[in-house]
Amino acid sequence: MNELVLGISAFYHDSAAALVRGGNIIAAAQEERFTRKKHDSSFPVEAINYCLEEAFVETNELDAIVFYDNPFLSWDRALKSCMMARDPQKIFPKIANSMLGEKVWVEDYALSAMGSLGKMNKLLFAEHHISHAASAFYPSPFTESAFITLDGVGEWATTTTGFGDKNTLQFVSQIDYPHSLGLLYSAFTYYCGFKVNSGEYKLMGLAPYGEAKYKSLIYDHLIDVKADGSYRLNTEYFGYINDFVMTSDKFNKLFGGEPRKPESLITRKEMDLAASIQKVIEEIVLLIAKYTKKETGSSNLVMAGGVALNCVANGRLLREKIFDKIWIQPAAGDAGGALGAALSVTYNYFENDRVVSTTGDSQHGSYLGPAYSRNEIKAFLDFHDYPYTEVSCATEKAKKIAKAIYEEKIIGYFCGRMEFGPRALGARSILGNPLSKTTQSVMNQKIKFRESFRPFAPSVNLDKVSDFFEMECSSPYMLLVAFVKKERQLPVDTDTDDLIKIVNLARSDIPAITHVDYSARIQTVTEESKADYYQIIKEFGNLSGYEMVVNTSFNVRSEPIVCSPRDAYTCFMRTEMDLLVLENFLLWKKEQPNFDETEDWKKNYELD
Amino acid sequence: MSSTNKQQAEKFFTKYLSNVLKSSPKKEFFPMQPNEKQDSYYKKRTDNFVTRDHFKCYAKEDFGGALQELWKNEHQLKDLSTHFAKLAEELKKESLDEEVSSFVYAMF
Repeated sequence: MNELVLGISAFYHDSAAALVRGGNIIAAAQEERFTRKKHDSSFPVEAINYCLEEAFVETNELDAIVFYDNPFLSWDRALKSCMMARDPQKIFPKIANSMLGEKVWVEDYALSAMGSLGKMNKLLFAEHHISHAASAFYPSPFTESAFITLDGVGEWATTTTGFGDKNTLQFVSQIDYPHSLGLLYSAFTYYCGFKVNSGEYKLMGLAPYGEAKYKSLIYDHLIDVKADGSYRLNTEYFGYINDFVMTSDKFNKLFGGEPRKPESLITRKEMDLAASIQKVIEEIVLLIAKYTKKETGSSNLVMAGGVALNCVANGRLLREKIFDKIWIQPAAGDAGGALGAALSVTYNYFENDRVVSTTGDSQHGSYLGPAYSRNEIKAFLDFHDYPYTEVSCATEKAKKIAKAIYEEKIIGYFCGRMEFGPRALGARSILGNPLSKTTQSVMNQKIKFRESFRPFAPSVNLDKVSDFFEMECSSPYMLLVAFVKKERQLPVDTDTDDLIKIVNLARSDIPAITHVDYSARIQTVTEESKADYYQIIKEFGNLSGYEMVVNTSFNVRSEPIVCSPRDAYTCFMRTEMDLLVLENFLLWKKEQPNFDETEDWKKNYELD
Repeated sequence: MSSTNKQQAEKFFTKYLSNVLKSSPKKEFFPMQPNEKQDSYYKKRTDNFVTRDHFKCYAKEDFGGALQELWKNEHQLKDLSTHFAKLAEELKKESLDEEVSSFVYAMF
């Protein structure tokens, strides 16, 4: 009943480890947080070590170790795709090296990294989309639910639908490679000059600036969508079978030229392309959802896979009310596969009964990473002679932080266990004042060192969310987008295409978090999920009348979110943040000694 | 990718895979185009309930056997299983060095 299962994801996107005991999630973390390499896809040695330390166990005590993907099935797909390519001889060396030279040897890497393969003395391999489906269903608050998984590709599957009931998972339908909504979206990411595998969220953020002018061109040429939401791509327009890029010449011709060069000026064309593909994705997701509802009869839906991080599509799905309730795995991408694989082994391999939480989901707010004790932080600060004030009273601390935010200071907030998944949820966050017209530009230029066309996200106390947004439900993981209430919206008249000018125009009484289409990517906070954060927002509400703060991830551009007090202090000193909160320790920038670095740290981070 | 590994893979391709491709050049492993006549593109899974059998184990000393099992109904590939296993041994790296491309989705 209490089997200890370690799940591992690696080699493709964000690698991660997760540890589950009898279905209870003990720990989960992405490797990038420890290695400080953004989207690190290497074998997650550090994340595994952390998970084992959190549970005080050794590898030989593990009842099972499971990898989130089946490299042999992926090899089958990669080889057959190569054999279908125009010039297989060009493709083969690359796939052979990558798959046969590395990925099929995962058991060896695991043994070498961990010294043991646990009690089974072997590694189990799950299927990629089983891992995704399990990551969505098992931690959800539902006893039964429909599920949809959507990503670029696993082994063969790119889209699956099905039904979870108690401890079982049943697949209903599947769409296979090379037909993929994730790959379609990535093709536009590439064509618009953003990095594939990481820049997809930028394309989503760009969409509200444009008009969906290319929507019919996409439907006419790139994808055929049936009434049930199933779809097939016309592969002639894509480069990933015949080459190592996402689009083909035919695609480029269709949209009027070569892909935009990274970091070059974003034009109206990219805005319209982003708007178009976003609309197409939303429409297909809605059709798939309707089909899934019909097939399963469930009024609940859970989702995972990289496409499930498209919070704009998720918000639309919620508004359409196809399902009564929706839950999305916060680590919806490959990192979450580690967790899903471990949970799937718990319920589908060991066949444990599943106990559904009566108070919410079982994801523990996704605060599943390392926390640091008072003694650890104090030792770090004292060792370096960094000046601080310790504030042990939670209310007093919250008041001080809220006052600083109210005075438009920028706060680095480090408190509790680190988040699992791409979003900072108030444990490793930078906080600011949502009412200020300058918060957005200050945070972008002086903290993040970027010029971003995307506004920041709000954290709002759940009991106040409907005061500000057209949303009644919770969104604890910042995976839903909703509109700012009509009465709060301000008219804006602009004819410029300069994204930075456009985004900096105040569009509501909460300008720092209002996107150009009046939407916001919302995190709702409750006292139960994160009391310290809830209290800060509450105290800010007492000062301003708005129970809401700006929340962005605690990092600079291209840096992984901070993990340790050292990471946090370094990031704090490299930027123009005013106050650093390390648990109960408050550090004011003006009191800190000079922070000299011998090398230009910005060179360590490749632009994202 | 090291030049030695690239050469090994190229040699393998010429020696084994090109023959398979020559003997069945029109092999369609998956559809490349939409089909107006189909009502739906969904595929139904026959093994739709996730069970213990969905979790595979592979003995590293028997990659060839694992590939043979995988391709039990695809004779041309099945016949190459042991050769692929040998190639995997030859290409195996001490440490992982593949970088994720920013131009194409990481899928192999």
